[in-house]
This record gives sequence, C-alpha cells and structure tokens, in this order.
Amino acid sequence: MVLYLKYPTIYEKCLNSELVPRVLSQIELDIIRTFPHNKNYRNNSPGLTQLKNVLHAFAVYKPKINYCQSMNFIAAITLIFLKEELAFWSIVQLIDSDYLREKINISDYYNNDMRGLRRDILVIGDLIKKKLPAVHIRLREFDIDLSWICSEWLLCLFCTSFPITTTLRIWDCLFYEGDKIIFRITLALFKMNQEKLIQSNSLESILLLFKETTRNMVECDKLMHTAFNEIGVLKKKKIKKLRVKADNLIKSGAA
Amino acid sequence: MAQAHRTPQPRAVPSQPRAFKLVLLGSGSVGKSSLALRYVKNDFKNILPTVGCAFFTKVVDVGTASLKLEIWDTAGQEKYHSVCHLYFRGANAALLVYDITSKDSFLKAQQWLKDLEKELHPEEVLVMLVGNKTDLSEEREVTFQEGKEFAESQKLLFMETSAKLNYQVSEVFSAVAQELLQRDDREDQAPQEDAAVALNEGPARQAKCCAH
Repeated sequence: MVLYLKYPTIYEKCLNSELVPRVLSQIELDIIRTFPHNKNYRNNSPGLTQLKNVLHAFAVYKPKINYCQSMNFIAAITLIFLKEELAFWSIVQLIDSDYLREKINISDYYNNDMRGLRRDILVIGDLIKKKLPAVHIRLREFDIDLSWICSEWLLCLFCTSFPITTTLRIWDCLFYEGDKIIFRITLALFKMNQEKLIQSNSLESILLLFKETTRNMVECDKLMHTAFNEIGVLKKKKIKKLRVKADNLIKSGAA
Repeated sequence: MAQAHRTPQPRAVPSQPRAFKLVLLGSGSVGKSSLALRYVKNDFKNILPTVGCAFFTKVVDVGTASLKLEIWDTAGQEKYHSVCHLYFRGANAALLVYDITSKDSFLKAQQWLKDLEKELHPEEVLVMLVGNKTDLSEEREVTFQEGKEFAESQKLLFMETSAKLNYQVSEVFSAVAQELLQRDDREDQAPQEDAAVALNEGPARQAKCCAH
C-alpha cells in the first residue's frame, strides 16, 4: 500500500512500456494455463487480461527477472483479492522489497541462473542436517536432492502446493516477518513428516508423501505451530551466514 | 557427493519390476507434460506450466518382462536450464521433446542434449528425440527427415507423436522400455565379456575406454 501511494505512476508506465517479444509470448502462453479451473481464469474471463497486465508490468519493472514461470501463479492468487495495481505492488513486495518491517529478497530465485533458488535449497539442506538429522540421513539414503521436493514450494511461495487458505496464512507471515518464513515452513513440513519419511521405502513414496501432505493441508494450525514452536531458534544472522556459505559453494562449482 | 549413476533396482524380488528413471526435456510448451499425462493417464487437457519437476510412475510390460518407469517431467522455460541438471541424476533414459511446428524448439532440443551430456555419459543414458504435435502438420516447420537425420547423427532413437490425438505416445515409451531392458540384460552379461576381452586384448580395450 505504501508503495502504491508513493509511486502512483509507475504501474501505468510499466504497463504501457514495450516488452521483449520473447517474454511477452511466454506470458501469453502461460496465462491460459494458470489455474484454468478457477472462475477468474477460465476462457475469456477478464481475469486473464489482468493477469497478463500485472506480469507485463512486473517484467518491465524488473528487467533482470522479467518473467519466470511460477510468478504467474503468485500473481493469479494475488489478483483474486486485489485490483491490478495493488496486486502488482504486492508481488513486488513478495519478491523483492525493503519496505517491509522485515526484508524479503528472493528476486534472485527468478534470475536467469536461478542462483537464489539453488542457494536457499542448500541452506535448507544445512538446516535439516542440523535440526532434523534423521531426515537428513533418510534423504541421503535415497540419494534425494532437496530441489526435487522444495523447488516448487520456494518458487511459487507454496501457492501451487497448499490449499489457498493455507497459502494466505503463510503469505501473511511472509509479509510480516520476511523470507525467513520460507525456511520455517519448509522445516516444519519435514518435521511433521519425519516418521512417515523414515518408514517410506522408496523414492516414489517419499516424493508422493510431500505432494499429498501439502495438497491436503487445509487445517494449517498444526503447520504454523510446528513452524513457530518446534523448529527452534532461527536467527536472521544465521540464515545470512548459511546463504553466504551456499553462494560460495555454487560459485566454486561444488554445488 | 552423489552417485552419478543409479543402478536399476536389483531384480532379486520377482514381484518388484526393475525401475528405470526417464526424464522429459525440451523447451516450454512443446508438450512434455502432455505426453506424460497421455501416457500415464490417457488424458489430454490444458496443463499448468511445470514448476521444477513433476513425477509419475508406470509399469510397462515388454513381452514377458515388465519394468517400472519413473517419469520425471521437467520445466521447459529457458531460465530453468540452470537447475534442470539437478533432475538428471541417475537417469537411465531421456525423451528430448520438440514441437514440429517450431524450428526454435528443435534447435533448443540440441542444446538440451548438450546439457544432458555434460551431466551423463552418452552410454549410460538412452535418449530418444521426439517431435510432438503431428496434429498440427499444416504448421510444420521441422520435417520428419530433419528430425531423423539429427537423431541418427547423434545416435538417438527418434519418433514423431501427437499427445493430443494419442498418436504413437505409448509406442515411444514402449520402445524406450524395450531398449532399456535389452541394455540392462546386456550389461548383466557384460562383466564376463569384459573379463574375456581384458585377457585377450586388454590394452586396446583400455584405450577405447579412455577415449570417452
């Protein structure tokens, strides 16, 4: 809201600026396959134009990112509740903003090399190793790369995995407390499934376990309780340190 | 850190078919997810863009044997190139998909092949080039011959399909399954052959290996 009032002309300016044809055609291709069962995004719904506009404006506003598949889903959820311009600024806040009480900066998830995504998945790996060693061992036994389970959670900020009520609850926390919440929710999901994970005896059953857990998470109190009360201390400073370590690993080519 | 190659599950338990990992690769909107959906559920519909990776399994009967295909469907947008290699680990086969109405997607398939070969040795992964969307043949930009020639030059299997019309979709997966089983059977016999070769013409064989 602050951004919306502070920069009253930016949205329109971005919307009226030309976009690289390659990016535009990717957006056009994707809007018709973004939650096509939702009434807002069915064939010929006005929602499709709004979705296209918001993604277009964002791509102009952040040329380094332009458009990344997954942002279509984030934008679509936002547009169910907000008008175009407010939705645009919400997405800016969700992806890259200093204007919040706590900073969110995940714009490098969506850059061309997706380095931020790779970095934060390594950080999740470090946190699991420390806080949930049994999970770490089990994942190693099946030679599972965390990206197989977590990429979609992170890129879509959980909105394609959870029922919408749960997504909104998480986004509330995200807006309020910053991107640390991504780690809390992810760790909570592993903690809640620890026993089942240990009993699973195949890669297939492990991957399906997480798909089903998230899909059926209508009642989110337990998730939030686990995320905030059972994960233990998770300091911003610590995450920052782990991110630097992960970045160095990626840079050196070791990850 | 991780094993580069996951050997198929041992066949000691007869009720458990051998499992093979197959990855679907290619540009956005060429029909990777549609091929998987048609094959696994015999359905065709408007599919959401794949974020990261989707996972399916299907048991395939090949003659008297059967095997389980673990199908990994990857995101096609170019940005995802940099993370896709994470899904290649342990793959036994790859379908390299392009859209016959898009020359660009055909050229990109060649790039995907390079990416794949950076991670996996050509001999450990079976690759089939798949030209999808034959239902749109009026808009065709890549001829059957072009596809075939590229496949032959790179020693890939090749087929054209239409996920929409269910044309040759199960044939693609069956052909891959059959070849995987044959290769696996050959590998089972290989150690003895290798030993024999090593005894008879060891140095020559060794030189061949190092050349890879």
